[in-house]
Amino acid sequence: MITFKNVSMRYPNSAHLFRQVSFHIDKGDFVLVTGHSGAGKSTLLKLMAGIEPPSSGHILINEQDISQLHPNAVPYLRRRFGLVFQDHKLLYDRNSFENVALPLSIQGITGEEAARRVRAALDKVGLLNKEKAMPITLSGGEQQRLAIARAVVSRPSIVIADEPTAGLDQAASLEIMQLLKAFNDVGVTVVIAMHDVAQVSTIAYRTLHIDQQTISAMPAQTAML
Amino acid sequence: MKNWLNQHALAIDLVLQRLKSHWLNTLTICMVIGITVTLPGLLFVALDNLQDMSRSIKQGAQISAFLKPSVNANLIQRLINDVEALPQVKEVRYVPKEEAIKQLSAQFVQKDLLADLPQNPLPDALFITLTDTQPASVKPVQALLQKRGEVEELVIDSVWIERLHSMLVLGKRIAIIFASLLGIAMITVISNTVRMQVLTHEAEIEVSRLIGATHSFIRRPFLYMGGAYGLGGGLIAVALLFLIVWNLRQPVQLLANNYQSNFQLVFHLFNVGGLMLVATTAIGWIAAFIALTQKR
Repeated sequence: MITFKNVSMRYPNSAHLFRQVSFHIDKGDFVLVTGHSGAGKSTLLKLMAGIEPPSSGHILINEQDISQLHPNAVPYLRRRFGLVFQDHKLLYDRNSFENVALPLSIQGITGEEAARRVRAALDKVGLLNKEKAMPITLSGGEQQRLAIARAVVSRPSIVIADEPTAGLDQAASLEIMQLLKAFNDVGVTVVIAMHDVAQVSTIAYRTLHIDQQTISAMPAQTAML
Repeated sequence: MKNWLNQHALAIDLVLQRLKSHWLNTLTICMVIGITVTLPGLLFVALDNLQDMSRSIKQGAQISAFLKPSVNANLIQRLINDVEALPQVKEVRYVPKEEAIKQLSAQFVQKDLLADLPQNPLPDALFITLTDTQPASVKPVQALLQKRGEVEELVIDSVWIERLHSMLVLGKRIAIIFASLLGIAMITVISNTVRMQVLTHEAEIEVSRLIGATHSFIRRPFLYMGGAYGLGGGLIAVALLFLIVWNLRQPVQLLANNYQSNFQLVFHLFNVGGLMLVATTAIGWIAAFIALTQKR
């Protein structure tokens, strides 16, 4: 599903974040990307989602080399992903319903169909009763759940979450991880970047650890949820 | 196709919401644009009316040929035939001196004076109406009449119309320059407003881009916004022009009546007004396009 072939990445005027890394993520995998702060976890996720281009190497999504894509095709690639950001990136001048409906609007899905899908997504994250609430009135955990609802509303095959539990307490973090696991259970590939695995008693069937410009794939492991 | 239409409908809905939620701001911008457009618009309306007037005068433009007293009826008829044969000639009207004196005495207050004259001092005359008053049309007719010995004097009453025509051309050119300058001012105002809008919605643009919005999807509401400002300004300008013309119509008519003219000030709502709306909407759209291109 996601294949990195000899990918190197460095930002202009800075050292390499990775050199010649290769790995493969299968459909339905639940992958945890770990590493210390500044190791390049967020960059790795950005490379996967086509937000940043690699300095060299090839990234394949469903056998399609995304570095060969025409710039106009990149937005359509991003629609295959559900993105969850550390800072939620919610629109604070729109209510919960409108925030979740945004990816559908981008795809031209409106009206009854959009409303049905938005409510289903809000229901899945337990925020159906807060569809009219403005994001600012929601707690940190609720805002992150809203961001997850927005990520899954367009039924993506891959969910990429960058530090989704950052700034949340133990209970809220656990809730978020359970939610992401629930999506994984129905076949969605989930890739999560976390710098502190210990903060949640979580599961990670596979781990990609970034250290010293290399990525090491850990064998599948199970954790209690 | 349905999704594409949905996206356009969504963009229009979003723009209307934004315009409504900042209605005072919207009204201010539209007023600025409206007043800016009214000024050249007024000049165009004035020129449009003058052109209408010059067109109606042109239709009545004539060459008057006064004949020598010695010319007999046969020669006159031959001259009429020759003049009528010219393609530039619309109509030839022959007025014999007897009819001319009758017309004069009908208009003259002191009829005794005319009766005391020993003989009719007026000549036979031909009044020639041309198809138009362009120099190219006047010249062949003038040349023919000057060549013929039957004609004593020629009066060509198209000179002042030519002057008016030249003034209208100049006036139009000035109006275009004026409108272009104010158009640039309008582009600057709308462009700046759209740029501010882009800055205000930067977070939304960033999120939309990240979750798969195309360039067109992001630009569309701002382009519509520019068009809407232009259209709003255009509507205000058309309304102002309509009110100004309506207000001036009666005094202009009174003035025209004093000069025995039935001239009426008119505002061609569908032609001039429609053209103004199309132009302002297009300028608004272009201004937004420029703002977005600079932001890219």
